[in-house]
Amino acid sequence: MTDTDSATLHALSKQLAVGAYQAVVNEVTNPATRLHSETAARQRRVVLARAYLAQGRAKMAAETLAGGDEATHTHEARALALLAASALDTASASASSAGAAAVALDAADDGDVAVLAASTLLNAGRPLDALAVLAPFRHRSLDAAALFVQALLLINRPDIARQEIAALKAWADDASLAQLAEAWCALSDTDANRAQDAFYTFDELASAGAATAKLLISKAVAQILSSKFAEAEQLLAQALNWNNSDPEALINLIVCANATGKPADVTAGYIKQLKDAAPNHIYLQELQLKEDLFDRCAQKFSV
Amino acid sequence: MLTKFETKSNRVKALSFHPKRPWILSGLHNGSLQLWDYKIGTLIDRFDEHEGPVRGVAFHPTQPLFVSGADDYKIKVWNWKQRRCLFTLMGHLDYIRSVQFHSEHPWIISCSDDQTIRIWNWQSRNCIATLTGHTYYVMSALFHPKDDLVVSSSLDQTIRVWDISGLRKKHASPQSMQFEDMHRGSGPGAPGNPDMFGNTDVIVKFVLEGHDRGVNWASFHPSLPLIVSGSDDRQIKLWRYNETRAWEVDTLRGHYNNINAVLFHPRQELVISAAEDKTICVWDMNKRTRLHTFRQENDRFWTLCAHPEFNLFAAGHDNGFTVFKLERERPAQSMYQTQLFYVKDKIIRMHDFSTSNDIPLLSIKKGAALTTPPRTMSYNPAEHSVLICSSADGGTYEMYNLPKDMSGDAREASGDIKKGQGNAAVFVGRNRFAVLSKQTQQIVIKDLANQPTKNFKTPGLVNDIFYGGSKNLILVTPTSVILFDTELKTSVAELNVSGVRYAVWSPDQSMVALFSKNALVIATKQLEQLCLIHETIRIKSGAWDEMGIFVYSTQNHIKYALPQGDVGIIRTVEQPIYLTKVKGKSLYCLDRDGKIRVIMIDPSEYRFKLALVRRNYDEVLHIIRTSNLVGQSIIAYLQKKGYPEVALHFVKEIKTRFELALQCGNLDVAEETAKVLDREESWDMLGQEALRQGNHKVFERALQRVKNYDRLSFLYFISGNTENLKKMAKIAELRGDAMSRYHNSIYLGDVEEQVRLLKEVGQLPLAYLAAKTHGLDEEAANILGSSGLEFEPKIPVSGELLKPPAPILKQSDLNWPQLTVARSFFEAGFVSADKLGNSIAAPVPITNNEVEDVGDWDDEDALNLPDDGVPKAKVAKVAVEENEEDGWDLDDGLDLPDTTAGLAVGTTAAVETYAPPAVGPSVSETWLRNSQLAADHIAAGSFETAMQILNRQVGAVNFAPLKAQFMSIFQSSKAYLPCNPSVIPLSVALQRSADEGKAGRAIFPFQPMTVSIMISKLQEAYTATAGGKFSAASDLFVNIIHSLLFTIAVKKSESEEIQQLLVVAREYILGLKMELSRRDPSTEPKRSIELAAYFTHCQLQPLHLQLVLSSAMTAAYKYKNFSSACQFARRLLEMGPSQAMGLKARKLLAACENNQTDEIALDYNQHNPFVVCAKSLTPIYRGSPAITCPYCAASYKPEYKGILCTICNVSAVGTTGIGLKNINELR
Repeated sequence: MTDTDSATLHALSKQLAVGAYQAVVNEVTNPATRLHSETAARQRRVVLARAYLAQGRAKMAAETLAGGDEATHTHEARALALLAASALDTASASASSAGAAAVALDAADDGDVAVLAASTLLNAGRPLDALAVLAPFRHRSLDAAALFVQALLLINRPDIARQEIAALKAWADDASLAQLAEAWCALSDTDANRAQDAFYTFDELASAGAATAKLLISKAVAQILSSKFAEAEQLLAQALNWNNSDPEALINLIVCANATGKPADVTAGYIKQLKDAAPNHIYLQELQLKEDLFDRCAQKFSV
Repeated sequence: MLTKFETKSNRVKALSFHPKRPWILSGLHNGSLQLWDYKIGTLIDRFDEHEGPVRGVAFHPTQPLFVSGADDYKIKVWNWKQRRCLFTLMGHLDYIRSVQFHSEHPWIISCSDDQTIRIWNWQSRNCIATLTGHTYYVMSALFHPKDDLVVSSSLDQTIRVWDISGLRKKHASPQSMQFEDMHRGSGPGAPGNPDMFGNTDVIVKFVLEGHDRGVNWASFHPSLPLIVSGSDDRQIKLWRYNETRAWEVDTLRGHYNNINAVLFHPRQELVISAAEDKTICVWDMNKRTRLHTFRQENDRFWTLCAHPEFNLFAAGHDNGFTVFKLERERPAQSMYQTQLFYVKDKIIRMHDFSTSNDIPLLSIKKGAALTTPPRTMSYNPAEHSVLICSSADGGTYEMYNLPKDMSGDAREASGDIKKGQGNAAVFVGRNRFAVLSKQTQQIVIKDLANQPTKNFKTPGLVNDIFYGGSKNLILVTPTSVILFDTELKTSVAELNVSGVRYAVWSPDQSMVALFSKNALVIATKQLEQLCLIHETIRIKSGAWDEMGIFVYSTQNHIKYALPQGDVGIIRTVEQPIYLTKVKGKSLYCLDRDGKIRVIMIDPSEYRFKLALVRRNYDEVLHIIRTSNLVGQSIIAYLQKKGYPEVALHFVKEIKTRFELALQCGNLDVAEETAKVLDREESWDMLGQEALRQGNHKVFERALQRVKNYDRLSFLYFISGNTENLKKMAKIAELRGDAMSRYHNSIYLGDVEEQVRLLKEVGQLPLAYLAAKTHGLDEEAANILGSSGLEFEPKIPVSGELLKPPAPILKQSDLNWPQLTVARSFFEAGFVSADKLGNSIAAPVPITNNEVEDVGDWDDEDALNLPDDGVPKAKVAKVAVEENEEDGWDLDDGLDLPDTTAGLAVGTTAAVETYAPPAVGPSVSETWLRNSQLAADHIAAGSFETAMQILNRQVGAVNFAPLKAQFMSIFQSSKAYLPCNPSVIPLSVALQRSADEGKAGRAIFPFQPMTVSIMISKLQEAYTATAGGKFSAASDLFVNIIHSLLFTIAVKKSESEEIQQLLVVAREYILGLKMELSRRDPSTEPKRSIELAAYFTHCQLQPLHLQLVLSSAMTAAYKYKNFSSACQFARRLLEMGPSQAMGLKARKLLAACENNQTDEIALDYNQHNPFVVCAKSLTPIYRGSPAITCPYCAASYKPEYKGILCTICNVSAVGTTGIGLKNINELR
């Protein structure tokens, strides 16, 4: 892989990390940008597929990896298809996860496959397995490391996550993804001051016009954790301008509305939008679960 | 040394700065004097009266005078206003070497090669003292700025200090003495001699010996008893003196040729010297070391002078002179949000614009700032640290961590200052900064520990770097600026603009202003040029307005630039200022002394232009209405930019108004103004425009005005207005205009008239022809007869009759068809503004004493409340259809990760080295452990324990109505953070930021329901109550009573407030329940009055109680219960009700006075204390048995034990609870 190739890939994965999916798509599909080595081109296709998937265009993602040489692509294509299934419908996540685990085994030396498979496992609520899949790559691939950190945070181990980030910074300090991971970790901390730190990180990445819906939402979350709901709502409204059905933006708006005691119909409106945008979102599932729980518990008391 | 201005001329032997104006006067070796403006760089004046080199010049400190002395032995005093020499002082017998004015007295001191120093009075124009003693040429003689001293230097190798207090005494004393002086002064040789009492006016105080050669210059320190001298022995000597003696302090060596001038820096501890070795040197006065040397290639330096007020110096040399500064005066500064960080007197200070606090933070005396003031500063908000660059030692940077607590005095920078070599250093990220080295053309990215993490070669010759957005840098080359990505190490964009000195980012980082000395470029963040503005005067600084306007300062103006290129002057400034922030009308800047100044400006002009450019017409309209923008410039601007309709609004002058109105096609205004103007050409213009638009009414009026009958007739003709056409014919007849009459008759098709007219004017043949062709044979015959012709003339047969078409549609009143003229936004805006005026209703304050709009309260007859009782039904609906499930696996909602990991076996091959860690405790679990409050358990998602707690505390059994609260609390317990693409978001917990966790670091979830929110809800409910919206009010109170279950108190007092709120809500719910039940049409009169009566015993706000009493009074009266009505009326009057209500009560009292009976016997005794049973709505008198609700404490009759409380709808009546908890007790 030449230097220019790795620089291009680096820039792409940064774009992907901050959520500038369309920018990735534009860059990769631009015929003017050619890569020299085959490995780089392959990795770039995976990035493109992930960008499509993040945009919710599963079909495009599948097609991106479908073509080409069977032997090298099968694992990636399979892993991607499984991730697509799990991301779009969390109900089928557990089914997908079994397949993902199998793929990860088949292509045990492929970092891209590991990332895709681990993502599927996380969606299926199997963070421990995801950790196992990612572990061999976490000192080589930034994507794997970031996912690793998220998995650790999911199992409430911010202490280990911090260690991982310290290790990560030793070899990839400057990378946006490393900074993002650090900010995630900071937000999981119980200390409100660290939320401010995270805010600065997001703000910096979003400065100079590089703002994306994802970064705006991340900023908003940092503000929410500092109890600055009005600022957060503003940011989220901006995020909705980018993508008016962004589930995370809507969810966090629900949080803001509830936290600031807005009338119930405001919340209901957001939930309706959310149901329309992402009917299988994990948040809605949890909410439904809680409502059922409430009804069942309430039944046990009676006059 | 920073050169500010240079001239080319003959050798300059003398220089003097004007104290106020930017002027410098030079005395030339060829005998002329030149007056320059060094700011603009022009020669203002020259004076050529001296014959021989001018070696001394000086401005008067306050008067419009200057003095010069030359080799023609003459001292001339000039007035620069009159531009002429006022008079010449004669007396010296040889070349004059220096001249100077005294700061207070009307004195001039001069010295000469005739070995004397003379002091002159320029008012009386004579010499008042001659100081003799030097034994060779006297090269300089200067007054002390404050004391009565003179210092002189001479080629006799000595420096003499003279005491002139005698002179002062004599000349500053009363009038009589002065008269004597003048008298005496006229006598030759008298001054300086002992007077009649044996005193001399001037005595030699000290003679300083030490130089080995002649001394060329000696001057005083402005405040300390010090003298500095420069000599042909190439040495500078420092001397100190006191009352009794003077001695040499030190010698400064370094020049290698004659030193011609030397002086102290007026404000700093520096000595500056100029010598024939073609150098100027700057010396440290205390350390006596040379700090800087400035070398001129070919020119020897002859003279030196310092500006009395600014840090400016001038040095004269063989081919002109140079005006220079020793160092930059721009304070290093950096803005972050509302905070300005800047360096003043070697201390980093912070100024907060929002509070106007100015605090010293850190002293940087130990760093490089010692010798040279810092050039730039870069602030890192995340780390609260600054990078300071200075040009000392070929460029250094230092990084300081600012103290976190911003109180007290500046502290010394702590031991480990991170520093390094570099020409510029800026932060590029929260933990990275970039350092530029110009020599090697390397940029190094360093981390906070000052360790390099990356470095790369610049893509060309780079002179400076600026922040370019996160991880980007702006590199400045001599001909362009480059946006450089430090992460990818590539250039992103390049813009050709030469000599950029500063880059200022707009607050939203979408635009950057780049400016050089004389040009300003505004570019986007991708460095696409938006506009280029040239300035003739140097641009000093700039800052962005929050609206996206760049405000910048030049040497003498504050100006603004719109991104699309419009420029304007805001105001002038006397001294250069450095803008830091523009906010609204305030312009914040630093001046050269490092003082923060706030300048008030009127931003409306540029806001207005910006709004126009951005087509934000609402804003335009707003500005037009609220500010007083006037003046030709704005009108011209609007006209030029194509907004005549806006300009129209500003113009009062009629003619311009008319023109503008025509331009924008506003005929109404145009006609109005044309009437005032009443000039033919304006009516013509109006007519044309009206015609263009098809508005023939206006066209007609315009024609009428200018009496253009022909066109008017034609207009009437084509618009089918025959009546007016007839009138026109009449008018033409009155005017005696035959031609016009004929036209009109043709238009009208009136042949008889034509014939008559032709006959009248003697055109008989034509008349005959007309008559004949139209078949008026009789008339034709008559004409023929009167003409005396025998034969009948022949008429061509091929002719056709000209017949005017008959109008089908009479257009006389219709103004149609018209060109559709687009009504601009503004016209509409202006019109609506006039019409709407005061239609905006003022919001009615709620808690007024007088409630005018009481809705249903007064409305006794209208009993059909629209939404009566509906919400109650909703509450009653409880989900029952669900199957009973056994309660053990309720918690399967907590999705515990599947630790069994079916594939663990398979993956072991790949991950032998990695064992996943155990799952940690979730935040929710911590919350559960920490808190005893139901609300916190809900936030943690443990609904069942929450319900158990509520059951224990307040006997809650019915949770259905609380579902909304449960869900709301749960939903505000965590936010969702999107992490990796296509992966579920990470949920992060919201924590309560209260200081309730003082003991230890116990953490609790965020709770949305606080006491203050409850109070605002209560306010809302009060409003609904006062407005008579009973069911809505009732719902609101029920909501409050439910929410109070989950309201968190931060301190003890809030806990009490919650209890009070509970009581209030309970009383209102009970009262409103009774009111609603009373309004039920099926309620009997007796019951109705009773309920009204009970309602008056609820604990209500006085205002509400008045309403309740009033309605109870009306109800009682209606059913002829006069006695009760009177009771209510009296109670009402005691409360001091509003006028209308009071009047009503008094009237009722008067009416019932004589008839104190009750038609219906009530179960009500106002004197017997009671509470109302919330179920049966009947009184429970004191002493009777009663039970209460364990939560809201509503009272019930004992038979209702066990039912659901009708007030709070949550708890079972008659059970007990341990009491509601809303604050966590510290364990």
